[in-house]
Amino acid sequence: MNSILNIDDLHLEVRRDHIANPVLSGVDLSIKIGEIHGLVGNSGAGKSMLAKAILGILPAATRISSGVINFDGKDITRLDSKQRRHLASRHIAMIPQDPMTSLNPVRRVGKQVCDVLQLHMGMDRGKAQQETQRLLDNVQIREPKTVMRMYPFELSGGMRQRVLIAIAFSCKPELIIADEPTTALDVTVQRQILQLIKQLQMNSATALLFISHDLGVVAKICDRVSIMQSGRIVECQTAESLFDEPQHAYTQSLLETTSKYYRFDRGTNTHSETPAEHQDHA
Amino acid sequence: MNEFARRFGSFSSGHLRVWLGGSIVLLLITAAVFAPWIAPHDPLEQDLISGLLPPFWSSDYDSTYLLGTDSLGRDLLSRLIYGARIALIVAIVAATLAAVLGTVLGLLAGYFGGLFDTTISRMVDIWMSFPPVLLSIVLVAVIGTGLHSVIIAIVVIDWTRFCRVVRAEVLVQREQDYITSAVTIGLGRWTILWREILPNVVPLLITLLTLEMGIAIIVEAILSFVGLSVSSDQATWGGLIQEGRQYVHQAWWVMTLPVLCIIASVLAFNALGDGLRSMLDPVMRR
Amino acid sequence: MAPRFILRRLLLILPTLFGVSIIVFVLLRVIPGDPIVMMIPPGATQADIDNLRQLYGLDKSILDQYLIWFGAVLDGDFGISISLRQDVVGLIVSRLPATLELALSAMVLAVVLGITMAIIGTYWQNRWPEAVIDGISGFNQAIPDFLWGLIFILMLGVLWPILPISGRIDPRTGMEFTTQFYLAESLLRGEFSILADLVRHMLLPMVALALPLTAVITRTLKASLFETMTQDYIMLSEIKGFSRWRILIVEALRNALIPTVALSGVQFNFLVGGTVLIERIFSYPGIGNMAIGAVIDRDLPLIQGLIITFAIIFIFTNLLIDLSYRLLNPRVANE
Repeated sequence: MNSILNIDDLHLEVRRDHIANPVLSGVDLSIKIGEIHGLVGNSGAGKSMLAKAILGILPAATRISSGVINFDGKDITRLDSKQRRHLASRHIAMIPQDPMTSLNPVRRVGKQVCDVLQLHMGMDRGKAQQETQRLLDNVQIREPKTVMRMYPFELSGGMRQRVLIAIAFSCKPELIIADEPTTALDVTVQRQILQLIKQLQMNSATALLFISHDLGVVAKICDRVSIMQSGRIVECQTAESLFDEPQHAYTQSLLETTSKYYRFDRGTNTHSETPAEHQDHA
Repeated sequence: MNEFARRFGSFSSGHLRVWLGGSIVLLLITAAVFAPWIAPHDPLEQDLISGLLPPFWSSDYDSTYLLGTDSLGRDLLSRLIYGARIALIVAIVAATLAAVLGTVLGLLAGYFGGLFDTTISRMVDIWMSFPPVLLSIVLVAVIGTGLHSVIIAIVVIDWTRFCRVVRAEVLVQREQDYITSAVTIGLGRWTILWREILPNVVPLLITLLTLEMGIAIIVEAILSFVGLSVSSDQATWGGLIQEGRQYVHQAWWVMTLPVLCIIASVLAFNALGDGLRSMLDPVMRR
Repeated sequence: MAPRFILRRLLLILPTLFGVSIIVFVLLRVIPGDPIVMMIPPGATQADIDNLRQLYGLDKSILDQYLIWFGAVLDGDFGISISLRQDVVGLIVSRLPATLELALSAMVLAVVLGITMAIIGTYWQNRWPEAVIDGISGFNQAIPDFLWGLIFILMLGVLWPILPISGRIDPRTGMEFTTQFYLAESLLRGEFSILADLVRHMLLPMVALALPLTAVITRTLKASLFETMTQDYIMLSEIKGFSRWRILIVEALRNALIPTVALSGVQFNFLVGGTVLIERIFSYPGIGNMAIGAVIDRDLPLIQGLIITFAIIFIFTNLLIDLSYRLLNPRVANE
C-alpha cells in the first residue's frame, strides 16, 4: 500500500439543540505518498470539516460517529486527543486560507518559524535560526535575515503566505493540507504561490491535499482530484481523465462553469517560471 | 430549555431581584420618611454616662438602647434611621438631577449630532477620565461643605453616565424605521425627540437612575466620612463610620452597623436596577 | 523604545500643569469662605487679620495673587501651609513617597492578580474555575474601594485581628530612615523584619485599592483573550502542536493585552485617586490623607500644591500606560 492517508466510510455529525446533523456521510479518500490530491466542491460540501477531522481540530459540538482515518498505518480516530495532537502536529502540516490573519501579529516572523523547528526538530535556537533563514530563502523571500526580524504587518499578503508555506514545509511532514491557499490573494500573486507550492512539493516527499472550490486552479497543480458534494466524495479521478471524461453529473456541472477558461491553460503554465513576486515591504 | 426553566429563569433573574431590592429600598424609604416617629430617641440627645454601649446581643446590653450608643451616648438606632434620611435625600435628588442633566444633553447630542455632539462627547470623555472620588472632594473644596454641595458634586460628576448611554441609545433609535416614518409624515424635530425617542430611552433611564442612587449613597457616605458633607453633629452613615473608626477596637459595632446599612442599600439599589433592566429591556427579556 | 516619544510627552507636562494651576487657582478663589478666619486666634483685632491677609498675599487681586504664586512656584516655592504652618514643598516631599509606594504596589498587585485570573478563567473556559472567577470579579466590581477598606478593617483588623489597620510602620521598630521610601529603603538595606512590618501595614490598604482595578483588568482581559483564542493564528498554533498553556501565554496574552491596556488605562488614575480615601481610612501618612485635611481646613497653598502633585502623578501614570501600550503593540512601537 503506497498511500499515506486512507479515509474509510467516515461519518461526521454536528450536534445542535440535541439534534445530530450529518456533515460527512461516508467519505472515502486515499492520498498517495508524494501526490498532490485536489479536493473540490461547493462551499458547505464539507471540505473544511474533512480537513479539520484529519488535523484533529474539530469544533466541540462535532463528533466522528463512525469510520476510519488511517494515517501512516494508524487509525488516528482511535488515539486520544493528546497522542493525536502529537502525531498530527509533527507529521501533518497546514497552509491556511488567509495569510493576513494566520500569523501572530505581535511576534517576529523569524520567531514563528523557529518555534516549530525547536518544538518538532529538536533544534537549539541558533540552529533553528539558520534553518529558518534557509527555509525563507527556499520560498523565494529575498533578504530572509531582514524579513526574520520583521512583524507580520510589515509584510504583504503574498509574503506572509510564503512564510506560512515555509512553516508548513519546515518539519518535512508526510502530509500538508492546503485549505484554499490562494483564495485570499491577488490574482497575480495567486499564480506565483501555486507554482511555489508545486515546486516545493516536488522537491520533497510530501503529499499534499489541496482543497479548493475552483476546478481551474486544481487542474493546474493536482495529480488526482476528488469531487465532494453534500458530505460525500462523488468522484475520484486523475486530473487528466476528470477533465476529459467526467463521470458524475455534479462534476460535469462544475466543469461546465469553469472549463471554458481553464482547459486551454492546462499543462502549458504549470512549469513556466515567472519571476517571484516583488518584495514590497522594502 | 423547557417552559418551566425559562419562566423560573426569568423569575429568578428579574423578578426576584426586583422584589428583594425593592423591599429593602422600601424599608429605607419608610425609615427615612417616618424617622421622627420610628426613632426611639432624639439622634442628637447625648447621655455621656452611657457611651459606647453594646447592642442587644451583648450581655452588657442596656434595654433603652436597642443597638447601643456612640461615644457621646447617642442612640445608634436613631442615628442610623436619621442617617437613612440624608442618604435617601441625596440619593433621590442627586440621582434625579444628574439623570435630567445627562439625559437632556445626551438626547440633544445624539439627535442633532454635528459640532454640538462632538463637543459634548469630548467633554464626557475628559470628564470620565478623572477619578470620581478625588473630583468630588476637590469640588466640595471649591463650593464648600453641606448637603447642597454633596448633591451638586454628584450631579456635576455623574451626569456623564446618563449622557453617554442616552446618546448611544438615541443614535440607535434615530436610525429605526419608525423615526423615518415620523419624519415623512412631517413631525417636527422636537416632537419626534419628545414623543418618539424619549419613551424608548425610558426603560434604560429607570435602570440607570436606580443604579445611580446606589452610587450617590456611597458618595454621600464618603464625603460625610471625611467630614465634607453636612455638619458633623447631624447623623449620617459616613459620619457614624468616621466616629466608629476611632473606637473600632473598643466598640466595633459603631462602625459595623452603618457599613452594613450602606452595603445593604447599595446592593438593594443594584439588585433593583439590574432586575429592572432584565425585566424592561425587550432584548434581554427574550 | 522611542525616546523621542517620551521626550515629547515630558515636554507636554509643562503646559498641562500650567493649565491645571490656572484653573485650580481661579476656582479656589472665586468661592466664598475666608481661609484667614480659620487661623485667627480668639480676640484678634482687625489689624491682626489684615496683617495675616497681607502676609499670605490674600489682599491682592486674583491675577496678582496668581502671578506672585506662579513666580514663586518657578523658584520651587509653593508657599507656606496655612493650617500646618510649614513649607508646602517640604510637606509634600515628606509625604509623597508613602503614597507612591502604596499606589505602585496596588497597581502591581492589580495587574498580576487581574492577568492571572483572566488566564485561569480562559484556560478553564466554561468550567467551574471560570464561574468562580466571574463571581469574584462581579463582586469586586460592585463594591468600591471605600467599602472594601472598611470591610477589611472589621474583618482582619478587629474580628480576626491579624493585621494592623492604621499607620505605615510600627513606631516601636525604631528604624532611622534616610529617605521617605521606607519600603524600598528597607528592602535595599536588607532590613527584612522592618520590611515585613511595612508590608503588614500596607497590605490592607493596598488590597482595598487594588481590588476594583483587578476586577476591571480581569473582565476586559478575559473577554479579550476569548476573542483572541478564536483567531486563525491560534488555530494554526494548535495544529503545529503547541500546548494550550503555551498558546495562551506566549501567543494570545500579548495580543489580548493591547486592547485591555487601552480600555483599563483610565482605571489606573482612579486607583491613584482612591489613595485619598484609603489613606484616610487606614490613617496612612501619605499625600491623600493630607489632601483631605487641607480641604477641611481650606488650606489654599497646600491644596494647590497637592493638586499639582496629583496632576503630575496622573501625567506619569498616563505616560506609563501609553508606554506599555507601545511596548506591547509592534505596530506603534517604531513610529
